[in-house]
Amino acid sequence: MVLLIHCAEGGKKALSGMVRLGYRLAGDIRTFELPCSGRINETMLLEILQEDVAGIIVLGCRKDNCKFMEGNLRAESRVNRVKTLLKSAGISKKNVEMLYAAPDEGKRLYKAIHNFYEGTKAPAGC
Amino acid sequence: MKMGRQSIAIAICDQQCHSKGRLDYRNLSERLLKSSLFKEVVILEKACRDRNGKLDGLKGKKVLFGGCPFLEESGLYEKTFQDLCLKKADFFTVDIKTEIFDLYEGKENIEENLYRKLVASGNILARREPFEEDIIKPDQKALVYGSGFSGLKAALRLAAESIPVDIVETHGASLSPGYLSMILAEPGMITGLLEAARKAETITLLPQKALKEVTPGEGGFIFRKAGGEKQEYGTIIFAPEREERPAGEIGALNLTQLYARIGSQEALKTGAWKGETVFILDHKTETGPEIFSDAIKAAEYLRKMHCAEVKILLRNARVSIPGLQELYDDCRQAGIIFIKYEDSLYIKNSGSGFAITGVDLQTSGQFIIKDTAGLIIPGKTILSPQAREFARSLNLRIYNDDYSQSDSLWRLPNESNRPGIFVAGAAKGNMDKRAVEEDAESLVFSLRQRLSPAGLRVEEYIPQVDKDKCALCMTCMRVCPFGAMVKDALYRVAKALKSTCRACGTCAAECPAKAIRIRNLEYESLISGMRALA
Repeated sequence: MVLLIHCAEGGKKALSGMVRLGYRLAGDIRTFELPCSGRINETMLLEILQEDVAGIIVLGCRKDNCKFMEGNLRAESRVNRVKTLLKSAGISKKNVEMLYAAPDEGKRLYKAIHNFYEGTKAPAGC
Repeated sequence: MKMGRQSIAIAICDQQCHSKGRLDYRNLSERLLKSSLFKEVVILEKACRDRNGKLDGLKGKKVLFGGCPFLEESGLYEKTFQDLCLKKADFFTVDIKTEIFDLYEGKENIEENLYRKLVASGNILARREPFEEDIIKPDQKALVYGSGFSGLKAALRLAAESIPVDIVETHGASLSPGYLSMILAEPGMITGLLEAARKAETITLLPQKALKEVTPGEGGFIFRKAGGEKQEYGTIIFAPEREERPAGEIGALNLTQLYARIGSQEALKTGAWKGETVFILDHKTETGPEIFSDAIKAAEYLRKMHCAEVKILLRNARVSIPGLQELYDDCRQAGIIFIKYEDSLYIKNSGSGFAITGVDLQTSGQFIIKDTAGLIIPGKTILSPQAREFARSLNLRIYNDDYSQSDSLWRLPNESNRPGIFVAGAAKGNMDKRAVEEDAESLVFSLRQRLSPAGLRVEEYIPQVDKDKCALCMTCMRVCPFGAMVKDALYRVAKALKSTCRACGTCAAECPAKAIRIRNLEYESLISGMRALA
């Protein structure tokens, strides 16, 4: 299962932009909405990763276009910190990723989500 | 916290515009009831048309409503909410059309995801606490900083809406060279506007140093006047003028900045820039006579740097000064091309750079530059140090060299990073006369909500600071993008200003002491929602 945490502004609109182009999500990618992607923090991500979750995607507004100024950038730095933590702990089965997307970038967004999803399914040594 | 487990009822519209028949709702409702989170499940055939009193049994319970965006847009949620006499915290909606039916394919996928989404939302709803809605009424008075063209235009436009305005005169007696330009305004126009502002009853002109320091208050900004008394404004319009340029600068761009844009001085010498190099000076800018000498200087300078082909396009250089023809001739000798109007210039991407077509001002013939490696379009305004200081005191953030974030999709044209402070004129970039007038119109539009007599409705997600945990480390004040967190001097803790907070949750995520909780958007509630999905 992959959890896709998206913001209620750009992220949500980007997802509906993706849908408008005819792309659909795989059944076990589940979405969760937050007002701003900057609301997530490391503890939250790590706590969710303890569950039966193969990976987390955080989807925010496009850079320079965040409704809350820099929430998406903050989210990215937190995601990167979690990435580093996972790496240093030697956990390669679980992954986190930050994505940015605008409503007109449906194809790119779909590809990014799809690649991440396929990546989590691929066997990886722990 | 007590979990109101058995009291949540759920209503799902099974129409979903095209979902009917795609889902076994009986199965779903049985499964939901088994989850022990929901006590009652009501499946509506068409929530938008007839409800036939089906929802009456949900009165006074916590209700989770799954519907399509139409229900939200048409105000049907609002109506349901009122019909059922619910408190706001007890009503939660999920847009299951966009979030489920559009996103997934296949009956099984949809059913499983819909179930998970409803359980996750139910978990969040169960933790929601009741809250009182708060309404703040900002002071009805507006402050316009700047008595330039756009500042005065904006003030007069606001006065026409009978909003009392104070203008801080930033200019003094002299006018910047911009006002000589025919594109911006005719000479004497500012004086006329100033006269009109002096005559208007609702406008007061203040000298620049009349207002000392500013402190954000609930629903406004409190200034200390020079005499010591306090004055509150509900909104501030930041419309400073551009500074007069020191001689020797190329437009608003001096040569050091030019290097920075090219990459380095070496890049020109070594020919790392292929093709023709084109500089467009003074893009969309109000110009003064010194632009001609600036352009000649730039041309000489760039030639000296062994850059074989330099073309300088100078546009909008229509200045109403005597001896204009001679100036034009001087520039032409220096190899500068004048372009007629801004609209006649087309810039497209070409093989290795840009292709430019335009109309020459002298011959009225078209010229084409097929391939250019570099294109420099300067023309950002420089605000005066006083204006920048004022912006700093207001906690305004510069975003892409611009105070207004005008390129952001989510903002009204005049909004700044701080709610209640609007930006007009030169702080948004250079504008011509028509643009300034349009800007004043849009400003009134943006202000309408802020100064509406009904007041501002405070959102439910206002951060609340735990007095015992807060160590006053000021992390929240540093990270808040809107400057909404302030120090509560009385209790020695941080607090959020209701009128300024936009409820993004950054402070709660950053607080090292975990002292900030955002009502109904708490860590535990979010985690429980996310867990339900896993």
